[in-house]
Amino acid sequence: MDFNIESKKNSTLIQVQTEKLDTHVAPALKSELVLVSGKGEKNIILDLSECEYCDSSGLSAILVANRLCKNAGGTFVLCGLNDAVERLITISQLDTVLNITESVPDAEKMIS
Amino acid sequence: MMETKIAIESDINNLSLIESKVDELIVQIGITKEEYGRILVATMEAVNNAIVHGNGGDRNKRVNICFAQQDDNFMVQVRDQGVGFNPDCVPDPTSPENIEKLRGRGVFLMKNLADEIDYNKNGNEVLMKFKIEKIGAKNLL
Repeated sequence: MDFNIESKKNSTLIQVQTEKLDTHVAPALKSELVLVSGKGEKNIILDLSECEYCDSSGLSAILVANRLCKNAGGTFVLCGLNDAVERLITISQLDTVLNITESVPDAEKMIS
Repeated sequence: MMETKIAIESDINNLSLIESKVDELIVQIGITKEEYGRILVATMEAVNNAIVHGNGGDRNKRVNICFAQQDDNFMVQVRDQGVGFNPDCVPDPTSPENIEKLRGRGVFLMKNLADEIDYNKNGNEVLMKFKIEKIGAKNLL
């Protein structure tokens, strides 16, 4: 299983459990995000602390999550960024449009 | 001077072959985790673009990849059999109207991850150069 999905009090936490968030994994993550959102969840936390690397398809999945939450009137928070992933987010300037925290508890605080 | 050449059919499933080859070369050369990340992601973006956009997923068309390393330079050349494109005409994915778009970051990431990037005149071949610091195989990843 590439993802761990956990219902929290005010949100759903999705933890990506692969080293790389790339073209092999991103489509399945997008499907999971659509399913979670489709069940009525408007606040999603995406924890990438186990991901060492990410490519443009991974960024695309992250933006899908952001769009789904935004369209539902909720909040999307990305957390647990390792160096290479954070660098890619920064290069792409997605840090200007995404909510990013260091940890899951920080993300939960942002949503509550 | 190390040089390795591979040719693949234009099938997205072949991306894993290239990923394995990058891993193998990186173990041989011995570079830092940060450099590995840059090379891997930029290479995968280039090959993905060559398969999907360059060759339009036509399995009869090939993508040729050449890896070369000399001293502190690591080079990746990717060539497809498509008509090519003009990299200067790719929309800026960081502009306000594009920043939240789901696609269109591959070429931008390649440019920003590589230390140097050049396209041939037709735009169906890209050469990316990375400055690497060799650390020896024992300190790998």
